[in-house]
Amino acid sequence: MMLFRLMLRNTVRRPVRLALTIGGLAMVVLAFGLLRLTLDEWQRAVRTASKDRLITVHAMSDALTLPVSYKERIAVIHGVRLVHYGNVFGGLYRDAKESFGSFAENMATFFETYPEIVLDEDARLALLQDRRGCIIGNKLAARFGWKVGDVIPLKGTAYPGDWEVVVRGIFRSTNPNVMGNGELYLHWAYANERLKKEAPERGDQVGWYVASMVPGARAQSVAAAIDANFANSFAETRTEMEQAFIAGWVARSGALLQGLYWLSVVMNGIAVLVLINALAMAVRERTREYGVMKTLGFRPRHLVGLVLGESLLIAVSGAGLGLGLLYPAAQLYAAMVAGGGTVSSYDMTFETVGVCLSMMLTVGVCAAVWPAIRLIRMTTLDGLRHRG
Amino acid sequence: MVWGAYSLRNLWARRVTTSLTVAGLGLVVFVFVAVLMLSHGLEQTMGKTGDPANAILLSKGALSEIESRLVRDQAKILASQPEIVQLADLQSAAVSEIALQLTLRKPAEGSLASLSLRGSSPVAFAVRPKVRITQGRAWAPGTTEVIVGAQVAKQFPTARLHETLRFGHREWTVVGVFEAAGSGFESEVWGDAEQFMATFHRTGFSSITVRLAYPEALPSFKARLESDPRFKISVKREPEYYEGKAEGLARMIRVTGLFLTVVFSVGAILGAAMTMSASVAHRTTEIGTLRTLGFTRRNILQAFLLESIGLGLVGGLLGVVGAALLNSVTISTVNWETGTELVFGFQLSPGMAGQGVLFAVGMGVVGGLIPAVRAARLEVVQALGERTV
Repeated sequence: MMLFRLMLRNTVRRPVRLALTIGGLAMVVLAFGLLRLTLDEWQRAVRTASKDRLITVHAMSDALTLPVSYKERIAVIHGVRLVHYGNVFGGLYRDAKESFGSFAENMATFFETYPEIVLDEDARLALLQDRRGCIIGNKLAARFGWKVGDVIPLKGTAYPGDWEVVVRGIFRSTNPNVMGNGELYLHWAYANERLKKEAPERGDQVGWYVASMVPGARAQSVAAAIDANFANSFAETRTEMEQAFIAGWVARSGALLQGLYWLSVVMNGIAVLVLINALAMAVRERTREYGVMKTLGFRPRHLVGLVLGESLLIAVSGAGLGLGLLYPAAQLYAAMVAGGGTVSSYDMTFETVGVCLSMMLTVGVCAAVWPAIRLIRMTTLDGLRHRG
Repeated sequence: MVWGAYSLRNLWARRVTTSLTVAGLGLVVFVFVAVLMLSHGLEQTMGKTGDPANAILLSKGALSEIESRLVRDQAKILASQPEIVQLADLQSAAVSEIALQLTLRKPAEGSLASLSLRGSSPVAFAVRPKVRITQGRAWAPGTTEVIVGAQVAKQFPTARLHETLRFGHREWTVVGVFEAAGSGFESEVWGDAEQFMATFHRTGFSSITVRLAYPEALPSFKARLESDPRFKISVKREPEYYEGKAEGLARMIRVTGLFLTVVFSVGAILGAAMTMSASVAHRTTEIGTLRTLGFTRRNILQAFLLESIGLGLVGGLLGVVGAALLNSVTISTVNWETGTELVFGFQLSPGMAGQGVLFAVGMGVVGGLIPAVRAARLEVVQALGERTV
């Protein structure tokens, strides 16, 4: 108990330096936390993706489409419960820089395929009854202040022309990593009908099929059966588990993610340096005191406990402050990188908090090693003789 | 000059603290410069893609070549506009191309990758003089021969010279490798437009790229074609189009870099301030002695500032040297806006090195200022009387 009080007193003895150290560490935790959030988000998307859904795309290229007539042929394959299809709608709102994801989906199977989507029963019926209807995620609604009944003008890219869709419901996703809260979904049938009039050769095409499997079906064999069905046809398919499909996309950004990972490792190094520096100064200043303590009968382990405790206390305070700043910083960061093809939420998770905390604990221990060794090696006489 | 030596000796006297602070500053500068290098590398790659004398014609509303559709008979009329350079064999310098994306499995990692395919014609070399075939030869029109960009040859062992690519039930022989001054074209595979169209079941082109006789003719060229109701197209200067294609990626790198730099520099300034204030606290008696000997407050301020500038300078140099080691590293990643693989590298310029060092010195000055002022303002009597333990 006395040891703890000593440690506490030691820690707060130089308030300015303590504040600077904690501030410095908090900055490192903040930067580290941002990187972890980014990495987490990608990895979580892979982990939380469903293993019960198969995604079928054109084998030659993700950018090519498949005929809608494939639906019936997939539906009869053993192990397939329900077939859903959709396509990228690619609508532009006002300016390309304010873009958000928009998708044309077969609404008849959409909700059953994606139980992640939470929507009122009334809104669902209203959507099904209105061919021009669409549903939007709650984040998207908040971003532009849209309400149910609003008309959204969109300029089509994949489906050319000017479009007007009516908001029929605002949904929430229970798994934003797979079905984002910042997207818009409209009727594929509506979009397709107009496309068929304007560019007949491009009509009746879908970007992907999603096959939900019956419980107990083996994903590998169902996927192989689907692909075998279209082998040697003019549009061959590539079918993967949703999880593998997302993992494939994440892997394509691999180099960038690897870079972020190494950056976060470098940051650990910086944190260790900051902390060692503070501890080294403190220990050097107090060398004579430690000498006195040794004379009084304190064992090396007591001194080590003092240094380690001080180190951990500073590290945890830094982590606390950094994590406190992380939430607003992450929101700001998300707002700044928004747009383009990425859909990021940057919501704080227990994982991120946990990773940051354990990183700082490790840093605290690592930083204490060297000053502690110096104290153990120091003879009492040396300590007493030391001139600060 | 006595002051310089004094400051440097002080730094040396506390080697451990000094080197820890220097290392911290160095890492901050390293990250700062590395991010600058990466975003510069990306800009170089995308900015060099395309020629300011060229214009690219896409269908109205299409954001990228992959989405764009142009009908054949339009292409003929568009290629015969008077502003376009005439080539020796009575052809105009206009190339109608089809842009596609191919999903391939990288044999080494087994992971999927997306390649950019460009179905083109030999006029492409006249329109883009920077493209140079370094190995092999160009594809023969009407055959399933292709040439690959230098970066593709590096990234995909199965797409090297004399290898065969398989897609769309056909085999494609790689007969050449080309370089394009480090531009994004080097991440593409080029072949015969008609063959690609047949393979991908497409009837029209994606884009037309034309070389203008006078680059300044672009605005009037653009105005005339865009207002012509027959075409429904949009005209862009070629480099602007390609730069726009990496905006999302560039923004993410820039914003991440900015964030890290701001956060880090605050941290590094705090670190420098800590070192310097400890140094002041440590030498109170010494400062008192110096003042008694007749050194002015200004001298003391200068000495301490010089010390923290020294810290920043060494840290900055270390960071820049470390970042310079990244200079030839390339990164291959998917460009979200086109869904295809793009290779770009870290590129260090002297300006960036200068910025890095300046940034470090700046951090040193800001961090050292308050402790230095405190040292200078110490009263002689008080300083001499203070116990330093």
